[in-house]
Amino acid sequence: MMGATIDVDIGGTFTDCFVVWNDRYGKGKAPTTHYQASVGFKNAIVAAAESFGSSLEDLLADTDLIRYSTTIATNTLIEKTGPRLGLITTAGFEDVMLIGRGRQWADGLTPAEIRNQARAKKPEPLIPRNMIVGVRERIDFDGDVMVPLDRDQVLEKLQYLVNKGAMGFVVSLLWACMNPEHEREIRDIINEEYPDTYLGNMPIILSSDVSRKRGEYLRTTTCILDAYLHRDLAGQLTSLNEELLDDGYDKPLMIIHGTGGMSRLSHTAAVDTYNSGPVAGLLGGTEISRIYETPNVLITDVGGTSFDFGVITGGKAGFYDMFPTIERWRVQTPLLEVKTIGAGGGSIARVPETGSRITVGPQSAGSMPGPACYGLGGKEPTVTDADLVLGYIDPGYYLGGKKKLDPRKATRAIREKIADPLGIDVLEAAMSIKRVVDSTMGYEIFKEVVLKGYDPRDFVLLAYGGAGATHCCGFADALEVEKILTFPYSSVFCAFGGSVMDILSVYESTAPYAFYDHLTDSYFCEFEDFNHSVEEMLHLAFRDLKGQGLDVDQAVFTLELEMRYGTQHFTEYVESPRGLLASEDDSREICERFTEKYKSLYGESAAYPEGGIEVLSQRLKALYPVPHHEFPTYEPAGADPAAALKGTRGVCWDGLGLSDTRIYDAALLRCGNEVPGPAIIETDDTTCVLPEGWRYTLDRYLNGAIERVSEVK
Amino acid sequence: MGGRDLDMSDMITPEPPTVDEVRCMEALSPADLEILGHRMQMIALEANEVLMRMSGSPAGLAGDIGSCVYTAEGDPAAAAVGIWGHAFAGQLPIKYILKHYADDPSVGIHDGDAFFCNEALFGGIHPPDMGTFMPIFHEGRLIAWAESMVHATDTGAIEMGGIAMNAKTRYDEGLKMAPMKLAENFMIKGDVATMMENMVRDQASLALDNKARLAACMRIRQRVLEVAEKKGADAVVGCLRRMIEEGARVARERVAALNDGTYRQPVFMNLERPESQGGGEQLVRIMLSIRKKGDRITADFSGTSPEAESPLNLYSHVIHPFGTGYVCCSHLFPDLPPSLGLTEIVDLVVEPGSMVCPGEEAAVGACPATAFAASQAIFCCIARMMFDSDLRENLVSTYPYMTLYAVWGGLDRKGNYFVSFGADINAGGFPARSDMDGVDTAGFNVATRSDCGEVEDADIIQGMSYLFRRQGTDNFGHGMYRGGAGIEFAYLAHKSMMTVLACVGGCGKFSSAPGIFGGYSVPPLIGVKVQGSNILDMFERGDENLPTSIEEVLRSRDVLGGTCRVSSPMLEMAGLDEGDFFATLQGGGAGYGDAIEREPEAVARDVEAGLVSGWAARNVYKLVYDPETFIVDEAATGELRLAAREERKRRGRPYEEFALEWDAKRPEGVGLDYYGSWPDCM
Repeated sequence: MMGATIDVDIGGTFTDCFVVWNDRYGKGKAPTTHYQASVGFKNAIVAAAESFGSSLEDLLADTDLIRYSTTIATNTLIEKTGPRLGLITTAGFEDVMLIGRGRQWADGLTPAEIRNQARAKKPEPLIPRNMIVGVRERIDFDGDVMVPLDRDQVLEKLQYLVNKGAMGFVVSLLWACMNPEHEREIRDIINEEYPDTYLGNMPIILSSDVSRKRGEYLRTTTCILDAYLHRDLAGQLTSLNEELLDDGYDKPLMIIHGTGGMSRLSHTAAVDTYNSGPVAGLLGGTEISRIYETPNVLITDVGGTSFDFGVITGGKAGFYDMFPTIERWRVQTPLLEVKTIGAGGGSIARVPETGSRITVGPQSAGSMPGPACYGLGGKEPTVTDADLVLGYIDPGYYLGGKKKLDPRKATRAIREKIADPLGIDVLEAAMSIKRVVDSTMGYEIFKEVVLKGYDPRDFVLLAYGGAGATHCCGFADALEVEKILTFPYSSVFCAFGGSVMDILSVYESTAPYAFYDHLTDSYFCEFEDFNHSVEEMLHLAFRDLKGQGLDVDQAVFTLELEMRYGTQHFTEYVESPRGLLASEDDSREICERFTEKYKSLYGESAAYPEGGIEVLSQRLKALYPVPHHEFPTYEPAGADPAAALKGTRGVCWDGLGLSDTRIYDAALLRCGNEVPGPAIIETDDTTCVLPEGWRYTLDRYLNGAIERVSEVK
Repeated sequence: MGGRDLDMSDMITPEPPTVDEVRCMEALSPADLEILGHRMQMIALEANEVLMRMSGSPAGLAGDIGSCVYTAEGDPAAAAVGIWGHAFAGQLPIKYILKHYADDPSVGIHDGDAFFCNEALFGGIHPPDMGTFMPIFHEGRLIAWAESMVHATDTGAIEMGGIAMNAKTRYDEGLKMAPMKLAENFMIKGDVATMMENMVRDQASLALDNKARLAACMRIRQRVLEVAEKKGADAVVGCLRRMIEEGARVARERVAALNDGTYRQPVFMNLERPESQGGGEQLVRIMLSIRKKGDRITADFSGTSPEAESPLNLYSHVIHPFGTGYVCCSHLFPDLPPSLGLTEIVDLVVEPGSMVCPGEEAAVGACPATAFAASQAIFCCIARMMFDSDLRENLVSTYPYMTLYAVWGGLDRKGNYFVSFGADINAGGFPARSDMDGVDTAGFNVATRSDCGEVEDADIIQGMSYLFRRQGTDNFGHGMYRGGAGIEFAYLAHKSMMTVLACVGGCGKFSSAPGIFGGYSVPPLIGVKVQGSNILDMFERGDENLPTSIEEVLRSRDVLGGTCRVSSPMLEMAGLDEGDFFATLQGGGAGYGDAIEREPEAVARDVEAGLVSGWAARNVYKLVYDPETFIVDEAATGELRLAAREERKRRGRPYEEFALEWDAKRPEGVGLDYYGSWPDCM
């Protein structure tokens, strides 16, 4: 039998922990300690150990694996606590980071913020202009040296940066992704001239080591972020390693990556950790997809200020944001896509100047002052206030009774800010707030799913997060999905997600290959360069796997190709049938896969092979599976949920109005119990709102399965 | 008249709600309106995403696109951009189609049809802006229209690239299609597509764009019909019209709250004759008087120069999407849902025969530049109006009107034919604000989602390399708050089998953006073309004189050798050999307020960053600082600024005296061929 596994998600507010030990599950939660992440980290494990009636030491002694996701990197960016860095680049192109493709000012902003062009501002650069130097050199797009590197000038510029107080160097030259020769020469010069005794631990980061993808701005940004975040991340995580060692844990400690895999600290670039918590949640969704044998799953996490969602198809989380934005910086590290919009329990409702509509969010009352019903001074009506007024939330049992809510304050806020200005009653106003926020969430998901070429109706929706179960039936209506799953560990779902992850690394290489020529009706067959590039990536993958003490033979490799028609700028990824290509048939098959994918995205007549088909880059994924626990199953104990009935209260339902509604205690429901809507099912960390037309069943995994029993209105 | 409708300019305002629309609007609850309005917005966004991803033109990347859901009467109601102009520019072609083809049995409007138009005489913008329009029927009832527009790489004009600067009349500008059916039964008509592709140089891009526009329209149609099925067609009809009505109502209320007044602003453009037409700079003027009274704004362009023998002529309907629409959506009402309703407050007055209301044979290929110049005048007037009414937060100086547009083509290193345009058009500076500097290299003025791309992308996708690319020095308007810097760069012919390059530019003699409230205007722009130089040898030996800026190109002329042509950025199509290059710049934003009121530390920071020259620091900002450490000498700076103020007072004189002296500077005999009579363009 496997020992325990511990999964921790260090979030911005809370550190969550999910433990599997002797086929039992436990969860723990503790405030995140930004001054030293290890404190909150251990507190969360202590809380989880207590749920087993055990201690930190005993749990750690029987633990085989700890995995964790962290937002430390994000904090460093927000607080600007990274080191003073110098950037060495190609002369004549020193302003690449400041030009920022022109659109840098809009990166990371909401559409409403972007539209307000008069207030546009670029983010403060992480490396100021006076710490950027250009050296005379040039490599062209074929990797040929156009201008040789001038060593004397490099020395002169280095001295300038050191005099200016550089605590580390980023070297990012044009087309270093094709030929890293000059970047490596510069690193050698720095090492020769400024040995360790002088520079200490100052990082020297080469863009060609961080990314082999075309695009000097995004490559340099990725590189700078890595250098900028490295010190804080490494510092905090190394001390975490040491403390766990002191507590007797000497087995693997793995960091979850936003790419969907995990590695040891030594094999983790700082940008890899970005958004790793939500991505772990997405991966948790793949496990749900697997055990329920339902290939298409939408994961949704409704929190206080934001709504995260992601898409799983064919049982896999395969949609990447190729150029994700980390705070205000777009980077080249492909991260699994989990989208976020400003909608949650704290989202503020208002009647805009137009006077005849209700908007909800993206502004949030946050946790302080929070919704009006918190009684902490908040005057603005929020989604939580509406949920309270509608009777969905019990003011005496919010978060299991840990937080008391004031329904009078919620009513007053909704009356003054919404109902009176519109001339409607408070219940109608509260119901409108709920409908608007539900549809906002639903339509956002709808757009993303259809842009990926799928029909939302073919998906099962997985709802977690504090307000997930409260609003899931609402946004499910906008999506017309038939089934929703809720999870007993909803509040620590991202930590749970870590428990199903494998070790994964992603490698990329840029070079264009014409795969189909319409004029000659011929397919790509000169495979030497193509295969050589794949072999190079495989070599790197082998090196990294071995470096982590892993058996290369256990790893699974897949090759994905970035493809486009003719003169298009935007591309799609297609999985190659094999890693090394051997015949024109391979090329034909790849082109057919591309065309099929393109048709599914944009319609039958959209394909345009007459324009030629190109491969622009290759992406190799190396997956190393690790053993996972299986969910235990339970025998049904009958459909009648009467034993869990807590009582009734007045609840307002869309179309039904205020009606006396049954309230159930989720903890007392038994496997197989069925609860028909309308009903409310309460747990100590969330409230499941079940409208008429839906039925809740506690299934054999003790997850709440909510199914539609009548047509969408 | 070739089917023209001379009443088209009357169609530019929203149609009055029909009885049916009023009924549908009244049935909507506040929550329904928000939910459906949001849904329509998401539909437009989804379609625009489809358009961007499928487009074969660099416009997809550059954001030179737009998609929109229109009412059944042809008014734009929910837009996604790109460029506001592209989302709003479908209304005249759609209204034309409704008026002239609905009952024409030889054409008709049927489910599955999609129309194409890129002809300004029929409500289009300029030939490269190609639009597709699709009616949306629900159970036989026309409930909405879908629109999508992309800027194409070529139109088969007398010069490649879509904007022929040598064009004298419309007949020089290539493919110009009045509204015509591009698709029936949801399929592109093979004969029409073949005809179109046959008329341009870059056939693959056009073919991809035709598919992309149709796919985007079909996506809008599909989604709107889904809403109609679920919520009822009335809900769609009511929601679309109400979005416009509400926008218009709030816009009127806000305008009514501003102080009444008249604001005037001339914008001068130097129109450069191509060398093949004898060359020479010509001065023209856009004159604007804005009269704000109650809840209406009248934009009167009387006093604008007459129609010119140039592609810079502009049909007045284009001022709405590129000028008033842009000002309203991005600056006056950035918080209101974007719809035609926001621009309903503006009435346009133009004089027939002027540059902004030319005859039907006029060339209009470069008209966006003139539209931007007109929008500058609008910006200046609106800024004063907002300042006067104490609405200063969203007040800006001006964006550069002459966005530099480089077009190239030829045979790439593999022998493939290519045509492309430079994404550097999206690297201009934004204007200064009332409380902060403009944004450096922020984009293309009317596009909120533009992207100037990467050098490595241009190398490999666009078939043209760069010698250098950096933020320019002093290429913006100085001021208490300075304009954002534009980009400075040199295109280099490298490893292609054949390269031809042209540049649509201007402002070689005159500013591309006037400053406000004492802020400096943007300086004139420059183009430097170097051919047959020693640069290949200099590359090989890593020569220390390899230029990394325009200034260094000019200083290294002797070392570089070859020929060096210094002019405005306007460049006629010509071949470049390996190592030849063309250096130019994109203008920055204009300044705000008096430069000698700028915080001295801010000037020193700009000097250190290379954005402000030492010369400008001393002479414009009156700054004294240590050129090694950039530490400001505050006392000496204070003295210098005080002396500057005294000097200004000494230069002061009565207006009549100034006017006489100024009038004496009038151009004599040259440069006024297209101006009209001096000084009032009569």
